[in-house]
Amino acid sequence: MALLDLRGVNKAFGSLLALDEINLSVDRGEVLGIVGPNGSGKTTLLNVISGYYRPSGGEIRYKDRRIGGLRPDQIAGMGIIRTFQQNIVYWDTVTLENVYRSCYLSARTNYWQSFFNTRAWIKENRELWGKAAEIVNLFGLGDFSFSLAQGLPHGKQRSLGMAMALAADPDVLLLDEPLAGMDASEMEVVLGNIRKIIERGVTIMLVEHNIKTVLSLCPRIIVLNFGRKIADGAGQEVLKRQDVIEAYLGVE
Amino acid sequence: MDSAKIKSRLPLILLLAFIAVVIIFPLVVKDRFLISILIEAGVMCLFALGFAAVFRSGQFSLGQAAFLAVGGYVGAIMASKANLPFWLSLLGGGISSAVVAFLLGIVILRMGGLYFSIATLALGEIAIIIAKNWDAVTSGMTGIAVTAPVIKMGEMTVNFAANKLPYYYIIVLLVILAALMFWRIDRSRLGTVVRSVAVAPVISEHVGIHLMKYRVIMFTLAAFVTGIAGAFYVYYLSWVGPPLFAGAQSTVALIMCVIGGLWSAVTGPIVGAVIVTYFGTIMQIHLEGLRPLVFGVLVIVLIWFMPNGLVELQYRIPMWVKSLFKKKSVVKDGAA
Repeated sequence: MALLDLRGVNKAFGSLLALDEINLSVDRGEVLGIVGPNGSGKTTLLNVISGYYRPSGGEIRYKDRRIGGLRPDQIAGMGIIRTFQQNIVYWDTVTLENVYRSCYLSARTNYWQSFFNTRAWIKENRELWGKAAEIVNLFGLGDFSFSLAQGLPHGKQRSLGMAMALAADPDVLLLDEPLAGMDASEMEVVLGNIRKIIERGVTIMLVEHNIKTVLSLCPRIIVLNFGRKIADGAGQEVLKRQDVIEAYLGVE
Repeated sequence: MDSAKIKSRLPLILLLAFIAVVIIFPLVVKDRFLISILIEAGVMCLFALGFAAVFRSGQFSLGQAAFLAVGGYVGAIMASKANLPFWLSLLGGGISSAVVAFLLGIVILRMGGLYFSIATLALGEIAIIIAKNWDAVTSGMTGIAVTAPVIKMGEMTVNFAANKLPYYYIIVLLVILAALMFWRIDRSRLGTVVRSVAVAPVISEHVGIHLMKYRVIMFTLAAFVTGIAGAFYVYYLSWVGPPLFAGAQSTVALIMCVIGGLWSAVTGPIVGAVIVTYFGTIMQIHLEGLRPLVFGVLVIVLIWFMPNGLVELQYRIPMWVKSLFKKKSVVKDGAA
């Protein structure tokens, strides 16, 4: 039984079909690459899975439950977490607290305990800060723990975005172009971070333009074009197919 | 106790000292006019705290006066028609206001942002129209007269009609309780989550936070406090009628929070409410028609120099003092 299963998923914006009958199943622990030219529906696919968009048709099953049409927070609560193409952070606070706030789902005590500052809350709060610090260090952001997140350089903000996603304890992590706009050294760092997440046994769906990166990380790749899935299989083989090359480079 | 410990407890000590001053104040200063301004300022404190609470969740409510009105009318009706005791009417005002906010919030908070602001703006106007026209309940423009409460505690009888002091102490108590509540919320997990929702709703949603839940919680809590303020206000004025809750009142809450400091949950609104009410009344007496103009200019000047409001002074004054000392030491070095 697949962990995540999409059957005939559609997403239409007016008359534009951004996703057209997508069938896809992802197993636990898999690292799946999603590639395709601009506007082919890669991000839309992530948005539909994470609940940011409501699918127009079809069925999305996760851990054997239908999740199509649920709110993003409900889906996040079930273990599907995503990152964003843009750098969005909690601009009002420092790096460490950004990750701390993202540990929302880990808290077990209720608001009254926190309101009255009970022992149980104090203990748990310490654990939450500890967890946040651990993740910040894991992603090499330790030196920036107390810098305002908004002021971090682009590459660090990308890492922070991933750290925040990891803080929400994902079973499935949807990464939306984690390498966009980076120089070579920053890319190395982020690649290392992604490998660390893979080591934790998190299932990953990676949207990325950089084919080399996708090949090095993902044993399996799907290719989208105009909202359709045109290929699905082992990395090298998929990229040799004629229709995939045409989609990327155009027809002679 | 070593000096570090004293330093860390300084805010608490200052706060207790301030509360003591507030309590002793009317016993020393027997200026009835000043006391009445302070009572109004207290009502405005609750009002501004409510606005700030909604603002903390990232929403801009321009119709808080509607909740003042709901609390005021329900309190007045409970007091005059049902003859219920003072405390119960206050509570009734708060709860009814909270229920209205909860039911409306579920609908209008879904829109969020600017749409929410416009919806609340309309809400404030609708409240006035209902108050003016629902004669059977609100008595239209005539309003409802409320008799001052008499509280019997064993041997002691406190007659609110004879003296304004009981009102003063009750509003002080209410403001302290509300401030304590909002301060604890701000410092607790709920405050952290609410701030997350306000600052970056999209991320919050995707780390598992149900945005609507927290917006509705803050909106309802704010209305509860505002409703109590409304009921108290009506008792204090012995009358309730539509003019009390004109839509402009909602903007006053906003101005108070801006002047005091929009980014602080408790100190800002309280400082702003007291200052605006005090100077507003004084200006009303001396400037009459010119007041809105002068007031507007002053607000603009203040925002220009202190965009974070008067609470900024707590950082600026120490800096000024430090810079004064530094200049002196530079001169000394130069002389040496």
